[in-house]
Amino acid sequence: MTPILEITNLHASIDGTEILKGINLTIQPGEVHAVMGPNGSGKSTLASVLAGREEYTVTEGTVVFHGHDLLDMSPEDRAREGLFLAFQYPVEIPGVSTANFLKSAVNAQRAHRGLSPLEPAEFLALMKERMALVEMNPAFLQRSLNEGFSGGEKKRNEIFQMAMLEPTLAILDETDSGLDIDALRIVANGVNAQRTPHNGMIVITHYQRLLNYIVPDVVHVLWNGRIVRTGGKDLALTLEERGYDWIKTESSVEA
Amino acid sequence: MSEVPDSQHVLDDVVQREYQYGFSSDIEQELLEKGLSEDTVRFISAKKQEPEWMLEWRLEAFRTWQRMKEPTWPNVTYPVIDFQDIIYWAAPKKKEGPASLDEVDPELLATFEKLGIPLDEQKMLTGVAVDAVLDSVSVKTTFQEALKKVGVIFCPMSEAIQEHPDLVRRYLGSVVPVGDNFYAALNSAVFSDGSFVYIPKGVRCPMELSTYFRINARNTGQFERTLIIADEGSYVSYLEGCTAPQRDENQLHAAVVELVAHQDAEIKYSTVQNWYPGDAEGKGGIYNFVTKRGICEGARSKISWTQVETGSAVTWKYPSCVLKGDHSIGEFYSVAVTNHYQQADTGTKMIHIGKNTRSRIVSKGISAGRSQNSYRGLVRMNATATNGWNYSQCDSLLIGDQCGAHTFPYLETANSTATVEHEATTSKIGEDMLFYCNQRGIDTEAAVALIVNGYARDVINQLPMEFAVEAQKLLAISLEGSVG
Amino acid sequence: MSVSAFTERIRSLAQHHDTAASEDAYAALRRHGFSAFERLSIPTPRHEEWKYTNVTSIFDGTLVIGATDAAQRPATSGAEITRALGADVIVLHVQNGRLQQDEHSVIEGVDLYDLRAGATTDDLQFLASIAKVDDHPFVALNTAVHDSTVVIHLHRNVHLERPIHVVCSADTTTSTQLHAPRVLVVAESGSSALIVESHHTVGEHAAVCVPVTEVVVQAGAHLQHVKIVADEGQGKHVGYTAATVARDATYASHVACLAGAFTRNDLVVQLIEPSASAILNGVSVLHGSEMADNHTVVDHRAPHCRSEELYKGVYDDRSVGVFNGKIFVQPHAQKTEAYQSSHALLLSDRARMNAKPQLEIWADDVKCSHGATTGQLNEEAVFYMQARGIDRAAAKALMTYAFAAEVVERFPHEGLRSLLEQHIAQKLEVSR
Repeated sequence: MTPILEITNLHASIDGTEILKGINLTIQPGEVHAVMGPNGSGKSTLASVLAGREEYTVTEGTVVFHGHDLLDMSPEDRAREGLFLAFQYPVEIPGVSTANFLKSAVNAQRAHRGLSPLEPAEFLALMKERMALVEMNPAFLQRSLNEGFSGGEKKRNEIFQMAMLEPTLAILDETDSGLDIDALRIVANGVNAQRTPHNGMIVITHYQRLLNYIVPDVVHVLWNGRIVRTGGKDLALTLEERGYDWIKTESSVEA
Repeated sequence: MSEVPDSQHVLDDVVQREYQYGFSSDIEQELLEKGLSEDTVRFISAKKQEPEWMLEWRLEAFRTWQRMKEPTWPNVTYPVIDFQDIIYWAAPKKKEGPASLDEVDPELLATFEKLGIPLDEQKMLTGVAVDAVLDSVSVKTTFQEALKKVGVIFCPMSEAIQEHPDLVRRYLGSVVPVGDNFYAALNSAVFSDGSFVYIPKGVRCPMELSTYFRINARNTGQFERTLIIADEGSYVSYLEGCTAPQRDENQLHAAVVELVAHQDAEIKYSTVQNWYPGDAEGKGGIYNFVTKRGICEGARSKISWTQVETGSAVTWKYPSCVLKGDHSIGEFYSVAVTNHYQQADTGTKMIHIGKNTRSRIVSKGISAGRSQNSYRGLVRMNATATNGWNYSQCDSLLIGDQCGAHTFPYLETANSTATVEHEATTSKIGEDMLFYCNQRGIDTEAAVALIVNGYARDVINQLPMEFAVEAQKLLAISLEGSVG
Repeated sequence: MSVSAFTERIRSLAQHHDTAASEDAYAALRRHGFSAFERLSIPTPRHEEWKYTNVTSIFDGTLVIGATDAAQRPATSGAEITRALGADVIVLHVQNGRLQQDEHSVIEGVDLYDLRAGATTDDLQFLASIAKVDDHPFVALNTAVHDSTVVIHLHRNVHLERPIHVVCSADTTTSTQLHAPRVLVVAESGSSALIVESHHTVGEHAAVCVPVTEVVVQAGAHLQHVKIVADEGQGKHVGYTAATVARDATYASHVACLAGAFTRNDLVVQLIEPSASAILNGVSVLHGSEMADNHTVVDHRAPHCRSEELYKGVYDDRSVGVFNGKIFVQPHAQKTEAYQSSHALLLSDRARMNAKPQLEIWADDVKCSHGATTGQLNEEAVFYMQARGIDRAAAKALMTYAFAAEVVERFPHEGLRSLLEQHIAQKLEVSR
């Protein structure tokens, strides 16, 4: 089976400071990988590099996405090829409605795949169906994208967009941050509904709490730009119990 | 390594875009020699077979103009204009004034067809009557008969002077006096045509009225004059559009527009200004020095200006409202895009005189390339403007770090019950915004168009439906470029 | 009497100085002032910067220029501020433009002295380097006619705990006066201080004060500068303050116009190095036919700088307020954050407010905003108080007081705040 994503010895830096210091990670279809780690360990950098943020420079290593060189693609081509990033801080775009924004996104993806744009009625029906996954009110479609949305609404909107774009690889960057327990449950349900044997997910989080709802197949612990431990879902529980200091001590001993 | 198209690249490419109305037409024309004197004014008046009072009015304007100085306060720079090096009269040879379609030069019809303004009523957008002005004269006004049935007068100004002298004498220069400013005086002396609209009492004009201005001849100035009168309880929506051929030399456009709204009347005036802006090096383009003013004469009257400004090398324009009637309302909605070396100094004046008068200003400036974009606005609450209310929102969007955005609001209050509120912000199209769009599969060029249209939405929404779509396209084109 | 008569007097004064010409740097500066003033002259309202404030009426040929030898009485309003600043305040009396102290004193690492013709200190280099003689008519006028410069020089890393009070006053008992106090503040790197400048007149004749204050805030220094115009006498005020702020330094200006027939303040703050910041607070509470015009400029000339400005005014009777606030963001001053707001309350139908907040931006990656309002008190809040048994007039007065006090709360020094609040309360006739 061809992996969805294969990261080999990935090094990346920003303004000359190396943040990622040799990441290796392979995701097979159907797998959900959790990446955990303390603040500043490089979790969000990994997400940013995979999505193609230009302020990061990849200095070493390869990333293969569905057999193609991911690092060679523009951010929009990565998206069109099926990579989706749920932002930790979704951006507000004044005056651009959520519906109009999604129409541009979905049709750009369809054009990339040689498909014609969706008919307006068809598109509206699809949006309403997918919004239900995250219990979003259709009134949000006409509001400016993320503008005046609460923290929870923004995160739900991210998962709604994911449902519209049907990615083969979704990266959820601290999607749980700032959510209360009800919102967390709704978001997690929305994500779980999109798990299939064909797609993969990377769930980046600081806390184990989210992983009670989105149960991972593999848990990685990132510290100081490297994956210092990999295990099953129980690793998250151990981390929760013993705290990140445990990892830091152990890793520095190993190092 | 990843090859990420950066926004700067896209914005640099903006410079490459082409002006799509830059063609010129080969129409046989009658041209007056360059230069301006009393004789020029007499020639124009004679050509129009104007009555004596009109000639006198023009001559007074000319003499006033001779005593005036060109204004230097706007935040724009351009070479000294030689007013003797301009042609003040250019007209298609075949026919003067309006004609039945059969009599119109086919080349001329083709010109307007190419501009997307078919003059054949069969082909036109339903519900829009058009007055087409080429250089100095009106060539065709459509749907005149249909409008006449409800008493609406929509005709070239030259025709109005002949046919409706009482109305013209009463209102011409009543809102923008002859000596109002340098360019208004010049226009009053040499204006050649323009549109005249009169909506009788209680009539809601059954269709959108529209004037399309086209400069074609070389070295000519365009000086049109528009006068719209909405009598008690009437309503009219009026739209003007403008384009010019791509030429290396600068051409002068100095128009005057006067609006009069009587009691309970409403005038909605929309402009999509797309004069040739000059090339990427700042060569050529139209100098657009325009005086537009409306008076809300009667109680509960309303005047609303909406403008989408994308063209012209230099723009100097402040569509204004004098709110004289109690409870009258003035509005100004503007999107001004400047690119390359364009300069725009535009805004509005809201003069509150009557009680309970209200005004709203929404101005969205977008600067790109090496352009300079200024908002200049005056809100004045006179001592008589009890409970006057104004709200202004002036936003600037900068694209690239070679351009400038300037905001000059003047807020003068002489009444303790009046409220004036002004807010302004400056922002850029953030990298984070573009990246967010990219991550959803939208390329940078499309993202810029999406974001700019979102930014201008409050203004675009004010335009009549058919033109809103046009305006959106125009904004996208103005800032378009391909990702290299 | 007219502007031309005034200008003629200045001209003859210049000729007088010319005959007494010396090669001294100070004399050269004064000559420069004369020639610049000759060129710039007294501006008329046709000049954009003087559109709302007609200064031509206050400068006439009857003004006596230069210090008199008459015995000078101190202003009681000045003494009141001194008291409010506490027992350890350092007081500098500047009367008719001249520091009433001959010796050069050094207090806790701060040099305090009068810089006069013939002086050869290093501080000469700063003189007229911040306030540009050729650009502004009243900087030119001050430079031409001023007697000497009060220097406050804070040495490196000096944190002066004691406030400094510069009391500028004129006694017009015997004649009219044009007086031109000049202050130079140099805050070396890492230093900090609070300087309070106040302006007063006593006497029956008219006085026009054209002060210039130059402030150099070097890297990492923090300077609090309060300016109070509380002229109950015949004084009219056309002042100019300019500051440059270097890397990581902060300049905080606090301006209070609480009385005065005619007050014009120009304040120009230049942020010249990265991460410099400026705070500008201003409050005006006027009645009768008082007038206050505040012109501020914040010039962002370097990246990563920040400025925050809040001006408020309350105008009763026939008083007039003017606010002109400019923010410039020069090319390359990326990551600038600049915020400005100005708010005015008109309490009478004959009061007027003219505001011109102005943004000029040549850099794209910036956060800038300004807001300006003129209006009334929140009716809902007034009604709420009425519903709690407070009568309408008292409710409005209380809210007006709170409106103005919001700015005073941002001023430094508790004693000073309390004094200003008391003044405002008195003027608005509210019991606190």
